[in-house]
Amino acid sequence: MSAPPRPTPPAIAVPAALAVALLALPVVGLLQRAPWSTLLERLTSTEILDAIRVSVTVSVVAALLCLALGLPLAWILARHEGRSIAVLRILVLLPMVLPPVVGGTALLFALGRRGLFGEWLNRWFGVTLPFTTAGAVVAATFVALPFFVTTVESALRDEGPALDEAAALAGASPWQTFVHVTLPALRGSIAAGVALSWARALGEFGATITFAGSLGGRTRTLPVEAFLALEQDPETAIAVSVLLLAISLSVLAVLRGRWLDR
Amino acid sequence: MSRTALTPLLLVAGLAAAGCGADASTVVMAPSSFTGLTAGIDAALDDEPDWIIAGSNRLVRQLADGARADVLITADETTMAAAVAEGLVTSEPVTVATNRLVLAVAPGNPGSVTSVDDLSDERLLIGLCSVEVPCGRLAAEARGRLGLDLAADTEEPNVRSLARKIAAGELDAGLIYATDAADLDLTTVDDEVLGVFVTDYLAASLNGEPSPVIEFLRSPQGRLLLTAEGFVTP
Repeated sequence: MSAPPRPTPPAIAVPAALAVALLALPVVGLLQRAPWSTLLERLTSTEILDAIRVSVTVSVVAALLCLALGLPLAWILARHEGRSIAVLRILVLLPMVLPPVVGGTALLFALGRRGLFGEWLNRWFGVTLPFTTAGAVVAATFVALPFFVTTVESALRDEGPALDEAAALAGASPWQTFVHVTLPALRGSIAAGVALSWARALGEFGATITFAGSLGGRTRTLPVEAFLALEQDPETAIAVSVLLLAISLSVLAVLRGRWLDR
Repeated sequence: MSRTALTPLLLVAGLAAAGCGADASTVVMAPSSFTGLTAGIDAALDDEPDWIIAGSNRLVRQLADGARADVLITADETTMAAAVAEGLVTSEPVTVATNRLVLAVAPGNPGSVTSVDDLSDERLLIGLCSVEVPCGRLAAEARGRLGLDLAADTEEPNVRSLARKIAAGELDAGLIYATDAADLDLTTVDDEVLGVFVTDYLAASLNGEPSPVIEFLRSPQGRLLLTAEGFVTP
């Protein structure tokens, strides 16, 4: 039996209430303006269905890329020390700080057809990333990666090297330790990292439209669709936003029930 | 109340004060294609206006949502008519300039584009404006009336982002305004069939008084500036 809850001091309750208000008020504002009676009709148009397909594809692939590339990076950051690791850690945070439109422009300078490395990609492999779905995935992965890496890295640090050392004493190779000891212990944090990076990728707009452009069925994601709809048909833009909210809330709720509850 | 509990309240008070910091200078809402003009207009006027530059529809949206402005300039008649219909503009809008659609190509013309017919080439990277914005509506009109089969690879949210991607060589060609092509020194391909696709820029005062900005744009000096930026003046 836990002790009866003690009253929360006002110094905690007041700012917490303000935080809740700041988070909840825009959602309330959005919901009260939503065109409920025509919602289904608006969301089942060809353009929106295309945008749903593009958004789901791009965000899921981006989250999987965050997992595949971010997990090894998080492990290196957590298990090593030194100046280069400190620099690397700042680099990981950069996409969080950079305005996404600037990130998209930087991606264009680096990986565009005339970009520093993009020119080689184009010449040697015939690959042109901008204006393709793959380009949208690159943009989404760029902005979402920090969310995965920081989540998993801090979990790895909290867990500490004790388990790893025990496994090494028992004769396990570093790779065996990583697969059979570290990964199972981190299951919850990895799921949280995937969920966060997926949510960030789903809502991504600035880097996508700058780097990958906007073409229905190819690169026009739900956020881009909402942005364009705002020009002439704000009600559809609100409907798309409600849809984004519903998709992300339901996925996050399922994940929370299954893995994130600790 | 304890001192620690005051901190968030002070924060809120600070935010509120920051939100009230509006000054008295003239605010002009102008479409993206006016970007290259603002410095010249600023230099010609005694009081430099504050500029809000965005797509025309977005400007009208902002007005409807309560943004304060003294002058509205739109990149086509449709958008100004919408603002008038919503009761946001009460004075009579006047035409200050005309822009036209041009076929702009990347530096060096790597796609060897020679006419609008090349815009249907799937192998080229072609950009248009999205149909939600005026330059996209004009391109859609050209597509319909000329029976073009445009193989667009992107439909950009404003003419500026489209023009920049052509200038950067990321796109081979696109339909943009003459003014943006002039401002970014882009090569344009002469195709006389595009000559009829023009859009009028309308300006209206929102505060009930004659606006020095609109008066300047209609003066000989203002027309000179507009012409230098690639506009045609009435």
